[in-house]
Amino acid sequence: MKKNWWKFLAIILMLYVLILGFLMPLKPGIISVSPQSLNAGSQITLKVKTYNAKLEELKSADFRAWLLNDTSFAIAASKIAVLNAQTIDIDFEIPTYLTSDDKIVDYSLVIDAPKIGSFVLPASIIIKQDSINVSKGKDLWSKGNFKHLNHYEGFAIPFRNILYETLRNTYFHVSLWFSMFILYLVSVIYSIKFLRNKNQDFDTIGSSLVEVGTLFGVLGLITGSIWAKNTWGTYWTTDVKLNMAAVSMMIYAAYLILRSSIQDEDRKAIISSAYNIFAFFIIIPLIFVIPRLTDSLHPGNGGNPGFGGEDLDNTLRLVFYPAIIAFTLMGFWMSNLIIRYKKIKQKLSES
Amino acid sequence: MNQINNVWHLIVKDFNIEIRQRYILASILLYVISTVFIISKILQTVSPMLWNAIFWILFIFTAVNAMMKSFNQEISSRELYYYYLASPVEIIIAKFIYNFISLIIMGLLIFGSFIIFINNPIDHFAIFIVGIILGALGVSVVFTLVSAIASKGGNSATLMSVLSIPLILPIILFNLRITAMGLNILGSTTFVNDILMLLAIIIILVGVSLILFPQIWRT
Repeated sequence: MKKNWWKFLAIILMLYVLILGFLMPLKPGIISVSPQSLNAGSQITLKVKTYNAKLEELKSADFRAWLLNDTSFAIAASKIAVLNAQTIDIDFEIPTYLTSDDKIVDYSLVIDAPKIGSFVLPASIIIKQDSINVSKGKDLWSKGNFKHLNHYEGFAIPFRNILYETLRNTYFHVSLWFSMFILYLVSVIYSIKFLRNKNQDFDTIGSSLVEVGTLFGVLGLITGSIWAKNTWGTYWTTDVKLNMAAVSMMIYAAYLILRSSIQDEDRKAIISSAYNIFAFFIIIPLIFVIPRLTDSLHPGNGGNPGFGGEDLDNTLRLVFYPAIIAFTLMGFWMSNLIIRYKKIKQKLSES
Repeated sequence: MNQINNVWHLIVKDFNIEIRQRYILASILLYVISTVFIISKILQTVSPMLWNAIFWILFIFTAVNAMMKSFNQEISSRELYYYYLASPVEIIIAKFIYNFISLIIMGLLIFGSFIIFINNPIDHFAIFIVGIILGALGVSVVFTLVSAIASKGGNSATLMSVLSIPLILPIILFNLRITAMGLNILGSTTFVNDILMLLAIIIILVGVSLILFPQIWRT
């Protein structure tokens, strides 16, 4: 009981991740706006499709909305009407002049209401102007009174365009890759230990960790593939990060083939440990170096190949970090079971 | 001094075996030329990008074929004899150097037959040759250890290709970039950077193989 505290921790953290990960709501957001291109000096009604904005609980009078391209230049909506649970109609009177000397300027739409806070669809609306007068435009656009914004009440994960609810996959897809790498790292340490003092137990531990790590890697590929289908529209692309991940899975699949092809136990242990160490040093450039050299669709360009610093929100971290720990502990637990199975099998074959 | 001497003798021995068994050399030559001939017949016109890709594919497969025998030809009694004569580190260094030299020759052979039978899209000849030399270096480092592993693993022909092709990928990707610069498909601004990165990976792999090979050799 005392020895197995970490298994209980794994179960508790896993339940925490599953419950909080799936139940924590998304913050409100704007899915689409139509029309998207307007003319300066016209009066227009924007049809706005929102997500999670709790429109049935709030009245039309609660809402405020702005069009802005900088927090200092904004115009307020003249009339707002809630149509149904998802859509709002927002009326704007677009001034004759814009704040820039370009013919076409893009503006963001911001909606604000008590309880649900403010939310924005950046650079969503394009306004065309025929005549240019920047100073008059700045004057006209500064009447928006863009202040006293509300905040969201309660816990919610951020609303991201295109991703929407699939953002929750961060807890599974990314954590699986993290814990896979931790498992591989520990297995390399055990392989080195084995080569140093030839204790067969160390090889059993190392190979079991690789087996579970490869399972996690394959699950990481599958979750990523499903995520890609929902956001990029395809299960697989020729993206460098996807391909390098697939190749590293092939390398470890070759490890499993190598193990099953050698009959002699001692020789199998030595050769597969050597291969495991060698493979790990090739995985490092595959996953951490090459993706940084080329462009990629996958998040995290220029920095960490997994994701960028801005992609994680504090509410996401609240579940994401425990998820890494939970998956890693689960991995160790699974490999523990494999180790025991292998030891029993060995004892049976000896007797 | 004695170690360098041992390494030298091992290399000379490998070349002597190679020259005595002339059919191996001839078969690789025929393999390269006939494959290039088939490629040139199938693809009437070859763009530089395709040229580069086919060049490295043929390079890898020729290397797999050639390296397969690098430990296989060592019959067990002869192996025991080496075990007394030289340390495993000397043996693997000798194999590295021997494989490196033979891969450079092989690379130049493929290169030459590509120019003769397909076409010559090379813009910067020096960069391309650097790419071949570095490719030979990287492939020889990875394939030497893998062929040692595969030869100890028994069923070595399939095992060799299954183990080596995924492992060679990071090195080949760098080489593809370098030779693409030679073909002027890619700008050569990151040339030095890529070479340093590739050399760093190769140095790490050499270090790892020098530590691991004695363990494999003793089984």
